[in-house]
Amino acid sequence: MTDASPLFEVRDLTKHYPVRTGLLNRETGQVRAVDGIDLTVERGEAVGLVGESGCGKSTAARTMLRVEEPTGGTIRLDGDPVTSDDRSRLKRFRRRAQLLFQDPTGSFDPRRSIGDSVAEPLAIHGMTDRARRRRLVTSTLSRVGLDPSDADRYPHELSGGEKQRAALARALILDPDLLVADEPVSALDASVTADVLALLNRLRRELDLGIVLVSHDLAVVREVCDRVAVMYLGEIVESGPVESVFESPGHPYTEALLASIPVPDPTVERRDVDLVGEVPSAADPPSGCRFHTRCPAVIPPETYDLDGVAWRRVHRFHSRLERGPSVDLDAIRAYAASDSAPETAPADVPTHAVQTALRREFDLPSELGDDGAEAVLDRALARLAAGEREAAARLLADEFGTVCASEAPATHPVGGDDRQQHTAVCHLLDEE
Amino acid sequence: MTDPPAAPRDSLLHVEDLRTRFHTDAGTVTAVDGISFDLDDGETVCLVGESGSGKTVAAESLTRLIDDPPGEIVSGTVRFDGRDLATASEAELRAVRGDRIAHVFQNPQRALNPVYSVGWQLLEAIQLHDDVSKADARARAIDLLDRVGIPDPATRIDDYPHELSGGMQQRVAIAMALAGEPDLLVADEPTTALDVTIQSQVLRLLESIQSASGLGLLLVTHDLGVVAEVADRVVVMYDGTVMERGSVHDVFERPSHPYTRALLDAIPGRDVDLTPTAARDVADRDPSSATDSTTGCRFRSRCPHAVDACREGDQPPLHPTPDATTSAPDGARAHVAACVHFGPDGDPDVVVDSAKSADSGASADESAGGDRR
Repeated sequence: MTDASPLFEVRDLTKHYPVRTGLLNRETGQVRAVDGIDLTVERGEAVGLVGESGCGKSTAARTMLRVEEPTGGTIRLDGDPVTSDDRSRLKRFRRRAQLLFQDPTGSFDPRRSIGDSVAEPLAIHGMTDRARRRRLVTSTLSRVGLDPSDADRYPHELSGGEKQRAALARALILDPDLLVADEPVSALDASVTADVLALLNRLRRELDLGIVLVSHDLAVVREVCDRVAVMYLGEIVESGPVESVFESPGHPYTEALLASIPVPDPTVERRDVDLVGEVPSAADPPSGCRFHTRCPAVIPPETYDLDGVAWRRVHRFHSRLERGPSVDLDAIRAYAASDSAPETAPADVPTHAVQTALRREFDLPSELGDDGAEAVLDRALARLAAGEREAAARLLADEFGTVCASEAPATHPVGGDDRQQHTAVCHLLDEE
Repeated sequence: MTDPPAAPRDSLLHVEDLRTRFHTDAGTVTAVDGISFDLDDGETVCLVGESGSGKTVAAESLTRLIDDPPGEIVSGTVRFDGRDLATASEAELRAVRGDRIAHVFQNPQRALNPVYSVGWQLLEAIQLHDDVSKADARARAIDLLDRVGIPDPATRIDDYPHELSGGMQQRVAIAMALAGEPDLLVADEPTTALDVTIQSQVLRLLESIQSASGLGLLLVTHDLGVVAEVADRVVVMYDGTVMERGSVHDVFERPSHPYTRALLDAIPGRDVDLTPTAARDVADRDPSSATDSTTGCRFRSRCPHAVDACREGDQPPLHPTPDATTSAPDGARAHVAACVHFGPDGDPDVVVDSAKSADSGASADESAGGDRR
């Protein structure tokens, strides 16, 4: 903690969207898009926010600038809380904190010249002097590497990279202290990306600008940011200095994300990561650690001696029964029937054939390698084949329960160095 | 799966001097201007380039998927398994499409019909290629879904496309492409719309399918990371022509054409080698320059190593690079670059040496970064 308050501080930010269904449009649930995140940005510092699509990073970016009203949490700029009850204060905040979007084409009015669009924020914030606006536009355009004469051109006359530079000029024209950039380069070609990132880096140094960079691309974050926060299903699961997080990740999710990035070097062997499936719905996040349904390092129960792969398959099957869509037994019977000896009616398929089909359906190994565990799984499959899904799930929960599914993990320091402020939220880091 | 080749043949797919034009109101655009490459059974070749380089048009020209008019394949050979598809009749092409050469596109929504269930569409694809009963086709569809990694395939088969995520839709599109047991799969940016985690799953899936069935894979992508992971050989395209071609190791370890070098330098995390102005010129290429007016090397105006000779004639032919050690010295597998500096009168060191010094400087700067090697 520093003595002076940081440039930008977000505490326990949440954004929940109501789910309304039915004729009366009653609220039947909530999508917890952002569920309590903390973020601090110092002057001249760039902080990355990364995660897969659907993890809530864009919602977080919009909410922290109050483009969307947060459900809860506090936002402070230079120690002053930003609330929506004071309109003039909110307007001042909006002058000092700017947002840059992914799609530069969509953020310009095709019928206005670039100069007009870039000058618009000045007019909104009360600068009535046309000549002065023009002068500022000229200097800002050259600052982002455009020609002052580009002010008279129209958006369609600019390439994607030039448009993103113009969007950056518009964001910078009010001389903000904070820039929140939401996927600023993902719509651009590789060579243009490198340029825009270099520009962002230069502006950060020249203007002492605080930057929040939202991106799905960890290479981009590594290029620009000092610190990074990794989001999964509305929560930050790991945060810390970029070097530390990327070199020695503390959370299995970060590790999996890093391993998924293709390395542009054919001599590098790909690390094999057992990360299957996709981000579950934020309307019904998994219990305990939200990542447990996909985690390649989910903690196994001590009662059985299972190898990692077999255990994760069983755990996934269990999670699937707890949360997934209903199991279509008729379809599985029909499939088992078409697979077995000639002309068996689906109703006559023997139970063991149905169980074999179920194992196949849920990607379960034919042998778990532990007799006790095998017996339990057999019983669970028999229940499921008999249509008792809940009983099967209960049995699996009793026998194969894991701390990852039952308790929310706490925040732990990673690498034993507290000064680094590298933390991860994972049961693997629990004290023994 | 694939029939064993009856007689030794040179390659599964042989593309030579393929030229595709589009006749537009603004003039004729030669989107693909004389490209050549080969692809073998069980081999992965990547067509790589930025947007507007003609890589997609090249891939869609193979089975003539481009609309004619305005598109037109002006010249060239696409020899697939002994037949020339560039001159084949529509009926012959129909027998090849889907059955022998299947396509997967960037956007899986485009490949799937939103009003039919996934199973219905898969069954259609299976029964179109094979005379099987509905029950058998359904069992095969479930097997296919299982093979492409759809969880609970017997349950999900009756889902509609909108009930599946983008990654799952792409898997279904791949399953449909595999329904006809093709010899060649043409995948155009199949993972660009997906998250990195899902991308890595889909790439691994393509690899496992390939090793199981030995099909040839032509992958069109802009992502050099993807290329490095899956390609056996690489074709670098710029403005409709091949700039450099070679094995993935040659192209990544000894990139020769200045454009390839610029592309590699532009990857975040690697150090920029071009001067900033040159890099910006690459960036802000005017798309209208693709109309037929250029002479000389197309990369000339953005190239830090351009000399007077670059202005003359057409795009330089593909010259062998001096340090192609891992590949045969000649023929389709050689490491070649379309640059005058690699020609008989040129000196490759002009390009390679300038970067060598930059390379050593970069690795000194980057003592902490481990992403280079």
